[in-house]
Order: sequence, then C-alpha cells, then structure tokens
Amino acid sequence: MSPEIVILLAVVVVAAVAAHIRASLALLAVPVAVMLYYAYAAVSAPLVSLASLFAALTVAFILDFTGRSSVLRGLEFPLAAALPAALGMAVYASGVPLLFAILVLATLVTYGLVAMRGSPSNIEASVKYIVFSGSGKALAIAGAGLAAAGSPTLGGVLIVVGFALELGVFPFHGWVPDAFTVGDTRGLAILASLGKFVAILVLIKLLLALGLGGSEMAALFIALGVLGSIYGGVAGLTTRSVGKILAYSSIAHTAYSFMAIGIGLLRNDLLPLAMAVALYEMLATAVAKYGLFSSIENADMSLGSLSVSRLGRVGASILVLSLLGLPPLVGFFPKLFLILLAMWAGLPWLAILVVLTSAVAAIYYIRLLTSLLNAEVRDSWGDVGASLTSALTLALGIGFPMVLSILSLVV
Amino acid sequence: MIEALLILSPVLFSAIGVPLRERAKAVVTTLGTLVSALLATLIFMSGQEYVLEYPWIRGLGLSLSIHVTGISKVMGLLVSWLVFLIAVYSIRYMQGDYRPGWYWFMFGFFATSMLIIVYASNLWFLLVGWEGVGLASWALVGHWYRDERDKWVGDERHVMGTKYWWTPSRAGLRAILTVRIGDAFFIIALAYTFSSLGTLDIFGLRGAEWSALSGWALPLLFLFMIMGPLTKSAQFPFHEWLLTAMTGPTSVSALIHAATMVKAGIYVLIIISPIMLGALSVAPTVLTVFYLLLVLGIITAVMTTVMALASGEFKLVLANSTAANLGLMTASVGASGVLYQLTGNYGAAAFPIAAALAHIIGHAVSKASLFMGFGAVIHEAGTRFIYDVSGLYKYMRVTAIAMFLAMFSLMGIPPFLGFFTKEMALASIGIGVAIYSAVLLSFLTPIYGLRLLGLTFLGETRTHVHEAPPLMWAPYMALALAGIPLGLMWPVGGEKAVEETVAQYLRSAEVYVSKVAMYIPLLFLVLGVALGAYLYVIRHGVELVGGWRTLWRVAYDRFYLPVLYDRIIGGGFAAISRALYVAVDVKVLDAFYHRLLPSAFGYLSALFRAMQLGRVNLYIIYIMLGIIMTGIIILLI
Repeated sequence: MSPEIVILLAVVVVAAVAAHIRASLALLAVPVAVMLYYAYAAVSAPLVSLASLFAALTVAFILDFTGRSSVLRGLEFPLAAALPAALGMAVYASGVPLLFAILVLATLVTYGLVAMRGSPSNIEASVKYIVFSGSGKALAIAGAGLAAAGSPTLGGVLIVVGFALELGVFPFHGWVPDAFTVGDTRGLAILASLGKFVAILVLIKLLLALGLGGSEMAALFIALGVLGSIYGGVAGLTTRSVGKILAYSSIAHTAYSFMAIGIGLLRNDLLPLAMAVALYEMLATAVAKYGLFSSIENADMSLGSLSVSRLGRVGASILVLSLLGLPPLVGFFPKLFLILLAMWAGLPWLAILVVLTSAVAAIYYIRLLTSLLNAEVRDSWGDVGASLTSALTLALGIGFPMVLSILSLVV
Repeated sequence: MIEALLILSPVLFSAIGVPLRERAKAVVTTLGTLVSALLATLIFMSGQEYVLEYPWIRGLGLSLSIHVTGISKVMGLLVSWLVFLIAVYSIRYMQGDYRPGWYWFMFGFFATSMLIIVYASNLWFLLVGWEGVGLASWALVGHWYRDERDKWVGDERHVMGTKYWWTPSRAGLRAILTVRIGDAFFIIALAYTFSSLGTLDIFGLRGAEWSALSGWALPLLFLFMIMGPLTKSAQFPFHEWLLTAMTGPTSVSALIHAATMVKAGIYVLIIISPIMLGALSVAPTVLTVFYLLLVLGIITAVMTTVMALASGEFKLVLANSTAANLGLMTASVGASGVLYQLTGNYGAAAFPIAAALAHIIGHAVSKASLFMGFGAVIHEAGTRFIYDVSGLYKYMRVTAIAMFLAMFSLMGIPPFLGFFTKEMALASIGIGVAIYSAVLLSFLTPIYGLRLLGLTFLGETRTHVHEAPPLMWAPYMALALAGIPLGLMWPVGGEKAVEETVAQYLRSAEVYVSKVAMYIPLLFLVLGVALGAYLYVIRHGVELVGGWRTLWRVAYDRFYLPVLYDRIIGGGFAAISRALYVAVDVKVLDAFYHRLLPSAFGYLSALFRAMQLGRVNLYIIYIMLGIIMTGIIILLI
C-alpha cells in the first residue's frame, strides 16, 4: 500500500472521529485535512491539476452539506469527503482487489447519502440502488475472478453486466429513474457525479489490468452504448420531472461513455484517447449533474413548478447547455471526440447515431432550460454547487486539450 | 498608385460625404469624380500602355490587375468625365431630395465600380465592378422608395391583367432580377473558364488551349459568358428592365442607363472579343455565338426603335433609343466574328469592333446630354408625358438648342459625332440581309428623334415654364456642343485613332473595311429626316387611323412583353413557389417534422417510460433479457 493511501485513510478516520464528537468539528477538520493531503499529493504526484480539482470538489461538498436536514447526525461530512478521497485513490490505484475496495468505498458512501433525510422515499431510492449495485459488484467480482483464472470471455461478460448494473446502463438501468426521483438531492448530486465517475474509472482500470479486450467485448460495449443512447434520448422526451430528465440524461451519457470504451477496445491504437474520452464524457455529465441536483430542493419537482435561487438559475442554465453539448462548455468536447473516434475507427453509423440521439435529447434539455429560465426565484441556498460547477464546465471545456491529456495519464 | 486613386476616389470621396450635410455631400462627391476624371486624362495623355497586377487569391486566379491600354484609356476618359458632368448636374437636380445620403454614396460607389470594369484585366476583378454597378443600378432605380406617382413609368391601366405601370421599387427589383440572371451565367462561365484553362486574365486567355474544351462546350461557354453583357446591355429578350428603370432620377438614367453601365456590357464584349475570335479560329462552332449577338442586336435595335416611335413619355423614348443603339453595338461585335469567318482575315474583324467602341462614345455623349436636358424639361414642366407639353422653346431656349444639337448627333446627321460613329456601326452590320435592318434604322431614328423634339419644343405654347438653372444646363449644353468639334475631328483623325486602338488591342496589323454599303442607309436617313420633319415640325403630330393605330397600340404596349415577364414568368414563378410551398413545405416537410416525427417520438418515449413502473421484479426481467442479449452478442461476434 502506498504512503498516500495510508495518509488518506488516516484523514478519513480522523474526520469521522471528529464528526462523531461534534458535527461542526468535522466541518472544520475535514476540509483542512483533505486539503493538506492533496497539497502533499500535488507535490509528490504528477497529476497536480487533478489533485487540486479533487480538493476543490471536497470543499464544495462540505460547504454544500451545511444546513441540510439529515438523519446521519454529522456523519454526512466525512461521507462526502470520502468520495473524492475514493476517487483520489482510484486515480493512483492499480491492483484489482484495491480497485474493488475503492468501488465499494465509493458506493457505500452514496448509499448513505441518498437516504440522508431518512424519509421512506429516500430509503426506497437507497434500497433500490443497493440491490442493483450490490448484485452488480458481486457479478463484477466474480467476473474478475473468472477472467484472472483464464476464462476471459465469460469473466468479461460478467464484468460488463456488473458494471452496467452499477452504472445503470440500459437494459440494466431499472434503478436509475426511480432513485433519481425519490432520493435526497445532495446524495443524488454525489451519486450522479463522483459515484458514477469512480465506477467508470474503476471499470476502465479493471479492463486494462485484466487485459480484457477484443472485438467481442468491444461489440458488447458498443451495443450497450447504442441501446442506452437511444433509450436515454427518447425516454426523456415526454417526462415532466427534473429528476427523471436527469436520470435519462445520465443513462444516455453513460451509454456514450460505453461507446468510447468499446472503440478503445476495438482499436488498440485509439485506446488511450478512447479511454480518456470515456472519462471525459463522465466528467462532463458528473459536473453538470452535481450542479443541477444541488440547485433543486426536491428531485421529484415537475418542470412547471421549479424554484431556484437567483445565482443557481444562471449556473443551472449553463449546466443544461453543457449537457446539451454547446461549445465551449465541457459537454461539447467529449461528444466531439466520440464522433471523431467513431469516424477514425471506421464506424460512421455510430457517429451519425451519436449526432441523432444528441439531437433528440436536445429537446428535453431545452425544455428543462426554458423551465429553469421561467422558474420561481427563491432565496439563496444551493448557490455553491451550481455556480462552482458552472464555472468548472467552462474551464474544463475551454481547457479540453489539457483535460484530455490528464485523463489519458490517469488511464 | 495613380490608377488606384483614379478608380477609388469617387467612392472614397462619397464615403467622406456620408456624415456631412446634403450640399456638402454633393460637392465632396463631385470633387471625387473630378479627381478621377483628371487622373483619367493624365493617364490618357501619358501615352504608355501597361498592365499592373497584384495577386489577391491565387487559388482562384483572382488578382487585382488593371490594364492601361488604348481601349481602357479611351473608355476611362469617357466614363470619368461623364460621371463628373452628371455629378455637377445632380447637385442642382437632386437639391432638396429626401434621400441625399443614399443617392450620393451610391453615385460614388457606381463610379468606382464602373471604373473597375473599365480598367480590370482579370475577369474575376472585373466581376467585382460588374456586380457593383448592378447593385448601384438597383439602388438608384429604386431611389425614390416612397413610390410617388410622378416617378412611375407607364400609365395606370391593366393590359391582359398585367399592371402596366411600374413604381420605383418594382422597377428596381425588375432591373436587378433581370441582370442577376445574366450574372449567374457569367459567373458560371468564368468559373468554368478558370477551372478548365487556369487563367482569367484577358490577355492570358487569348492564347488559351481551347482544345481542352471539346465540341459544343466552347460555344456554350461563350454563350454563358455573353449572357452577362446581354442582360446588362438590355438586349432582347432582356431589354424590358431598362425601360422601367426610368423610374430612377433622370441623372441616374443619364449616367447609368444611357452613358455608362449599359455600355459596360458592350465594353466587356469588346474586351473579350479577341478571346472569342481566337477561339473561333480553332473552333468554327463559336461562330454561332457571334451570329447570336448579331441577330439579337438587330432584333433589339429594330424593336426598340419602333417602340420609341410610339412611347408617350420623354424618358421612355430615350430609353428605347438607348436600347436600340446598344443593339447596334452588340450587332457590330457579332458582325466581327461573321466578317472574320467570311473573309478569313483577322483585320476584317477589327473594324466592327472599332465601330462598337466608337459608337459607345458617340452615343454616350449625345444620350447623356439628352437625358439631362429632358430631365430638366420634366423638372420644369412637372410631367413625364410628352403630350402634356408643347412649344417649350419659348421658355427653355437654351435647353431646346442643346436638345436639338444632341438629337441631331443621335439621329446621325452630319457633321455631328453621332453621324460618324453610327455610320461605322451601320457599315459593320451591312452584311447580307442585315443591310435591310441598317436601312430601317436609318429611316426610323430621325422620325422618333424629330417627334420628341417637335412635340416638346415646337408648336403652340400652352404652359408657362422656367428655363433650367445654369448649373443644370451647363453640363448638357457642354456635351451637346462637344458633338460638333468631335464630329469635325472624326474624319481627320478620330476614326483612324479608334481603329488603330482597336487594331492594336486585337494585335492585328491593319483594318480592312468596305464602305460601299453605307450610302444606302444614308439615303434613307435623308428620307427619314424629311418624313419626321413633315410630321412633327410642320404638322406637329398626326392622328393615326386603322392599321396604323393598331400598330401604334402594339408598340405603345411594348409588344406585350411586360405581360410575358410580369404576369407569365413573374406570376407563374410566384404561383409555382406557392404551390411548392403548400405541396412540399406544408404537406410533406411540416407534416413530417412538426407532426409525424414529434408524435412518433412521443409515442416511443411513452412506451419506454411505461417500462419504468418502480417495481424491482420487473427490472429483474429486464436484467435477464439483457443478459440473454449479451450472450447472443458474444455468440454472434
């Protein structure tokens, strides 16, 4: 175990203990500890900008959790802090068992956060997620074992199905639209952003660590991507609740990410770029989903009855435009590179499909945008997430060459 | 540098004038045209011939290149001085107009565009000016955008369901639409020429490898190329726009629609004639293009001359006469190829082209003067109809004298300049049966000329009018008087100079011409003058009866061509586009994109969402199906 991880775990433990003594103590202790850790990571590791990004995210999480009603009695702070920590570990980790451990840590945290308010609907969302994600992890671990034991095809299929359950890829998506409407919005913000990003990062690292690939796996990924992008694009068209729209959007974006992974497995020469694009796609949707979920009070809100803060409205609108894929926001570039990858890999129909499904999905994004612009303005909580992430969408979009090169370093 | 200033100074000065007051705009723009006229004179006097070239877009063969050759020097001198004189006239004529900024800027813009055409030696660059004059023509024809009744052309009646009057806006649209048709063909021809021959330099194209274009591609290419000049110079069947373009201010009619822009078409024909003759020498099929020019020119000349006999408006008579003379010039250029083919002698082709160039000068001088003079008449008498005035000589002596002098030149009476240039043009087309048209034109031209003069200035005085102010009459008097010394100089050295200029441009050793045919037209000119004088000077008009009246009606209604253009083509186009809109846009595209597609996606979306019932056991079924699907994919790949 590397010294970074030891230090990191120590930080989390200290934060948890502090939170147990007094919630406000954690509020102070966690950001300071996490930032110290990342300051160390920044000087010792090559991925300096990524490390500072995690630090910023952590602080945003912590600040965003203040003043929320919670049954976790202060435990939500270390939980929230643990997720960027898990991500940090996932970036540096390489062994298969450690990767699974990180995945477990990341999901465990979100189970709790989704049910943060303790209402029956919160619990339902959490349970549905636990069922799918738990069985998914079981399948994935079994698959990894099989693959390591010399049965790569079956193992690969199990890993794909397992992660499809974990990430909510059509037709293994069942929990996503349900959980996204009844969970606590802060928990969902984290689940839809870092939860999924960590999962896809772990998936990519697993595939590479186990040496899985070939046309069969590629076909599987691309097929799931095609189905998911169509489903996500079309199903959201008639839905009227914000949570559902974000759920279908999430399904579609994960599908695009799967397409990129598939192209990477198909063409070895495109592999580093394809994996970076897959991560970039998830990063784009993660940033937008975090901001959007944290700017609304209740995920079940219908489009007509939205109420957002003044600043949150601006931020959220920018985020929707990013999801729509408007340059120079971050949502544009992964899709652009995905189309380019499809062309380079000799799959023009896939590029056309990406364009068409994006065009179809644009309709519900625009519907969300108009309802945000017409939304009732309320006083100011919820600004932090939306405004920070909207700034981030611009930065990650404009700096796309840097982001892509960092993400390919991660892989 | 001097060349750039010569071309650009009108538009630059008029741009400076944009923020100034009305009077200052007029003076500044006029000053700009004077600068350009003086520079053109300087270049004319310098006696050097050269080509300047600044590459612009190499990939398209576009370079800002200008040629200072005999031909462009003569044309530049003519254009720049006419622009200046008409600018002087406009200062007073346009005083108190409600749109001075538009007028003066477009005036300067026109002058610069026209000078680009004159000096450009790269056809792409020429196109810049070509499109510029078209735009300026549209802008100035529709200058009086309020469409006042006294600015119309035609009288308020319907003929065969077609509105037979044209407002400035409608006339402007008519002008630009007609010219754009030719422009489109012209651009295609240029693009095709460049893509197959690799150059658009007017000198470089002379020795082009025409064999690269096989069979009928070559005549078709030239046909497309002459479509530009044919529409710009208002040749049948594209002459209608010129007649309705008379809705513009008279100064504009004088400058653009008599002296310069419409001549640009002929000028382009002249400068590309060595290229076409070069092609003709290797491909006899190109002769059809020359024949086409000859035939269309003669048809235009005869048709518009007949219409000029019947027109009821001052400016319409002059516009018809302009089209007739343009027809004569077009026919001359056409004759050059025919003569070349008949004689097999390159020198024989030079004379008709020289005739066209000479007649550009001869006609421009007299017609600009006539337009300005009758503009003053319209201005003072307050009507655009000939029959509303009579005996104006009593009040407008200076104008009347100037108009008589200019009209004599236009009719081709010796010793005015018009006589000599017209004689050259008539001699050029005096080949074969075309001689009859030359005879007819000689006979009819003095009749409409004397008709216009007689009905306007002679006879009983009915209304009291004022003489035009000196700032207005000075330019047209100057041009009218210029016809005499220029005419006297012509036999001494003028004709020879023009012929040598053209011969030099064609790089032909000498000019061959037979002048036998000329005397017959001359005889008919005398007859025409006699008949015209009897009808309109002695008798002051005639009452038409029977078949003559029918003929007059047909000519007065312009051979019913407006019905074809405005109702059948224009209305038909509108009807077709409306039908297409309903059939394709509404019934197919709107139905598909706005009804079928949304409802299909709505249905599909509802179907997908129906899968989402919130029951986990249902989701397990989906998972099972998903696993089966993955199995199938793995087995298939």
